[in-house]
Amino acid sequence: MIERVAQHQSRFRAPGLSPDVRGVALGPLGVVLVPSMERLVALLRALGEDGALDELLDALRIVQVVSPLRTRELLVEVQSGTSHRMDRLASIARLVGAMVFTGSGRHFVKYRDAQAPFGYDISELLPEPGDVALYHDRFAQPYRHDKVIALRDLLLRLAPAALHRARWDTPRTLYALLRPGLGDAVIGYLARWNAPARVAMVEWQRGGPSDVVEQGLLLQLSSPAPRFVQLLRSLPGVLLFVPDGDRCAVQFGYRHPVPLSSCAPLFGSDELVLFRAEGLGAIPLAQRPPFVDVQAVTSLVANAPTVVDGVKTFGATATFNLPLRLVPTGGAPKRVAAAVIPTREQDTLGRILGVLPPTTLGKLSIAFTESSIFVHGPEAADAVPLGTLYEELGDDVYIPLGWGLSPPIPPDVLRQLSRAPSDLRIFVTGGARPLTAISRGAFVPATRVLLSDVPVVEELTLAAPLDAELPLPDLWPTPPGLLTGLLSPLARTELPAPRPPSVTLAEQNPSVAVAPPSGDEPDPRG
Amino acid sequence: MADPTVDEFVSAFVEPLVLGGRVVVDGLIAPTALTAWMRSPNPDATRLVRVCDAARTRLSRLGAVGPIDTLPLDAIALAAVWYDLLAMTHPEAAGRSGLRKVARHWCVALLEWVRVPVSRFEVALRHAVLGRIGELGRVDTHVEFWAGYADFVGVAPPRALVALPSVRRVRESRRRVDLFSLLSSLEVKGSATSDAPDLTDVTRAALAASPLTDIILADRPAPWSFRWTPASINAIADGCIRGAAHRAVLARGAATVRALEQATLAAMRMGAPRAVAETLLRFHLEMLCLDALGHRGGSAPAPTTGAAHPGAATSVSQPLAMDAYLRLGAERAAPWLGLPADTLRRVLPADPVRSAVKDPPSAPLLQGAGLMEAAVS
Repeated sequence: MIERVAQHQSRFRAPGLSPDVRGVALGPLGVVLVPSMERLVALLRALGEDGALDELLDALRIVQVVSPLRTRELLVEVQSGTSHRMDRLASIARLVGAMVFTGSGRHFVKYRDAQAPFGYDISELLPEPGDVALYHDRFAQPYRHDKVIALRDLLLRLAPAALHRARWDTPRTLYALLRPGLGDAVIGYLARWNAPARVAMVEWQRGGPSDVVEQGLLLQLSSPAPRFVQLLRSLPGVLLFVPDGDRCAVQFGYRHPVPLSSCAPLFGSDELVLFRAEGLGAIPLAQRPPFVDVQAVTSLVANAPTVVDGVKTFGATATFNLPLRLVPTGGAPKRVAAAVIPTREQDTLGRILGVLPPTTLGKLSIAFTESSIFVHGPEAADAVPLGTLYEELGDDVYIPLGWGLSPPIPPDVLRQLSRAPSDLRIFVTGGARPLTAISRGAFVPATRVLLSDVPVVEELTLAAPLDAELPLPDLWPTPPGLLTGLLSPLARTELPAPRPPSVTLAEQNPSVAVAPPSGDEPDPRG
Repeated sequence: MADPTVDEFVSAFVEPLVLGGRVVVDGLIAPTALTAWMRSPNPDATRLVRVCDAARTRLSRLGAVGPIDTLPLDAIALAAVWYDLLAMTHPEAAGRSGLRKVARHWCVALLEWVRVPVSRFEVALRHAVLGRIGELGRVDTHVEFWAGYADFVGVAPPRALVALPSVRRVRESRRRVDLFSLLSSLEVKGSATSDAPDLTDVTRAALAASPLTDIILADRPAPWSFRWTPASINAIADGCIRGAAHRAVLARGAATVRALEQATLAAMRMGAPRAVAETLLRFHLEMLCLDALGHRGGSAPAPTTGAAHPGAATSVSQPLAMDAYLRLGAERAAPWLGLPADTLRRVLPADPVRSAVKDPPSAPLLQGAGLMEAAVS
């Protein structure tokens, strides 16, 4: 039925067949005969992965044909272009079990293979070719056109397949389709966390026999944090979509059977198609929705405070010049946090500190000034029965136990008025200059000030350490070669370089050689 | 493991061996790896610190020890010998004589490079690395289920096989194979030939290369029974190593002490030189004295170490050492121990009514040390 084309053959019986620059018999069209729809999807997927699909899309046509035996098969027609393009198409088609033909009009002959590197020609045309006649080395058969399948419709009807969880990546852009009732809660949440998200209202027809128009909110999140993705995934009524190309997005955790990024020309430049999984179908949005920042949407619904008019404000420009005084209070005293002891009682304080239990002593810190000794210890200062006891007013401000301030200003205001830096402890001691400030760094642990220099005598330990580099006594000399009984001629051939001697050992005892100068010399100890 | 780096080897084998954990043995290590190890001998610093800290802690239980900041390459290479020997215990390696020859060749080459330790530091560090080698073991699992059974050697069974135990009637039994049972597969049944070499002597040499470990594991079964080697004799001639060995041996118990005494008698029967006999006598007398001193403070009831000498209380029976002490008497034994005779009498009181023993076990030792004349028949 078909015959091999010879080199430099220029005349063919098949209509439209001509040799290209390499001498391969090539018609203007290429045809792939696919036995079933599954194989067709596999072919499209393989072409998409290979990157060849977008080259073929401009003239790609899928036709369902019927054979004389009433079987239905699928023909994919493409522009053959060059034999290089056809070679790539043929190799992918053979991978999915399809057959490749070339020709024009109604007659198509098998494309070249390894047996016929210059292709095939028809030896005899079929008398009744039908709509399309295919000539193969195993058959020659007319086919009748049944219907044309639009590739875009096919893509919209295909359901995305689930991806393995290990292949889930957090995308750079994520779409989330919300039920309208969830809008305020989700948008408010994203706005509160200042997430980079934009939102738009979308409408689409449910499709099929129904005329219902559905509504939803479409969120667009840029570089979403994984916790947002996890949270949105777990919400019922929220569907996440990952962009596949510029014009399509597939539900998160799924992939479309055909790489949609290769099929961009099938969708409009302003179109956005959302492919839902689990049989929900695709949502084609004819216009890309106008997205608005979630902050803008939230501010519209937030309860703005009422603006009060007609109020003028003045800065504080004057004071009352009241004196700060200590006055007795009748309130319950707080816990003792510090004590101020006159310097003349230093010896007594030292003896008292010397008999305090170690746990109490460890909690005390002491600062010395010319007139007083300041003892600080919020949990232990009450153990010192000397001087004036102080309680903490707050904000590291201390006041004598049982006394209060007049006027009763809070400690943070007192600290601000005194202009004392935050690293100072302020003691309200009363008198003409009522505040005394001591730096926190001046307080040292009480355990450090109990003793002056302690005499130390350095003693040498008697026990020699195990890891001293001392040579072992040599009582029982090792025979030359540790493994004399084990050595075989084989073992002597490929020994690594001898182990270097220990420097310390050689210095300490030059008479002991650790390693012999050459491998065959016996150990000097032997 | 084809020629691993020092870091890879330390992380796979040395670190779990010192710190505890799962030791991974995969293939053999060739001596050619040493060349690369000598070029860059230090593993990852964090791992090195971890291993050295554990090694110092281990050694400090045996004696005073200073800071250890490095793992010497001879200890790592000796660990590589053990790695190769353990790799050869794989069941599939049992019948492969060619592989056995290669392993033997490589182990011997590594041991030739490692050599015997010549300093206290080397003895101590090798023990620090290999001290837990006796604790190594392989866990074999036997799984029975409704359709049959399966055995897993050294690896856990797949989870699918043991899933739904009640429904699938799964019974899982684990068995731990200790080190010397594993090493028994290295022994060739019958006579070893050049085609089917025996790796038992290589194992014995690998043990001897770390004398302190060798002495402490003295209670091992045949054919690896303990024998005094030049390396171990020279090691215990050092007072510090001797003290460490005493503490470790007494902690292990009576079986180790008995194995050491039998090895001492065997060495004497083979005609060990006088210096060796003196070292061994000092070793046993000091161990007896140390045990008696340690036992005085103990709360355990004082057991009698034999009918012949009920006065001295020790935790472990040391018939050879006790007999030598009783024959020598406190006056002659005191200089060997560096103690005044009175103190020694209080530590080890001799029983005045000791029955005469016709063939004292310590006679060969005392004769070898020149402290007793040999009877000429």
